[in-house]
Amino acid sequence: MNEAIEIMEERPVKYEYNRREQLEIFEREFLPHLDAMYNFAYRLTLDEDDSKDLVQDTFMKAYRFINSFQKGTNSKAWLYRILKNSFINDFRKKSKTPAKVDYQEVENFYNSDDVDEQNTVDLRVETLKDMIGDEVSNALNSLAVDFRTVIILCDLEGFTYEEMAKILDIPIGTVRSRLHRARNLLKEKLREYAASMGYRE
Amino acid sequence: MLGMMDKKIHNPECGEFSKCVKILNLILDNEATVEQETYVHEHIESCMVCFEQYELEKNIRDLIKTKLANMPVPEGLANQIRSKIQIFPHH
Repeated sequence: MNEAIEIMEERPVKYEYNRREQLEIFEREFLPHLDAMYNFAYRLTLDEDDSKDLVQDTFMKAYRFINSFQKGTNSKAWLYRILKNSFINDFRKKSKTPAKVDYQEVENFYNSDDVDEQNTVDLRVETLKDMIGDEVSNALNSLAVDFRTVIILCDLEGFTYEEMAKILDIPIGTVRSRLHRARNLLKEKLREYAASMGYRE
Repeated sequence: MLGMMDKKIHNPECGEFSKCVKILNLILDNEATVEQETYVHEHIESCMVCFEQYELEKNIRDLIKTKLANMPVPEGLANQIRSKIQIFPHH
């Protein structure tokens, strides 16, 4: 359980907030991210009830470990990290549909230079312009959760590579290669959708 | 469509396509250095495949940002969380 909540700092620090300060941090720095957190949870679990549970768990853990949070720092990244760890530790285990791919294996493979050959998905800008939300959603949701996650964190939430590395507990080089792979998989999915929908050039 | 694919796979117009794609993704993610930005911006003025790739990558990001529906937070969730916090002992 505790490993789920390792704090962002390299040097663990304990702050001593009184009750009033704790509630104030919670209200001003944590709760404003509720909307983004709920949506992140939904994009991971693809289920409304699970998202609700995951978000509640995340906020409870955040409060329990509030003395590890430095007031005024990057609360969003801190909360995302807790949410992502809760997802892995609590949700993925009991999930009815376990991850289809061992991503570490996939990653080791694609960290090699072979990845260069993957730049050539035939997809055109004109095709994208006609796509609707459902198609984009379906394409994204069809990716293995680790690939989906990096795209959400980067494109939707605008986290930097460094923040993503901290949220995901992986080196920056891995963020880069996982993103690269994820973008190519997404392009491939979008191309498939476009083809099945009969979009023309 | 096939013609397009052939062109991209062989990339007759860009000898450094892989390198360019890596850098233009860094640019779109705001992670490129000034040198990398200058390099690609000059390069795509004269390289059609890389220009097209840049547009494609940019458009996919826009698609993600603009077309994914935002799920409304369930009503009362904020207050449920607040009340759980209220009864949590000070620590």
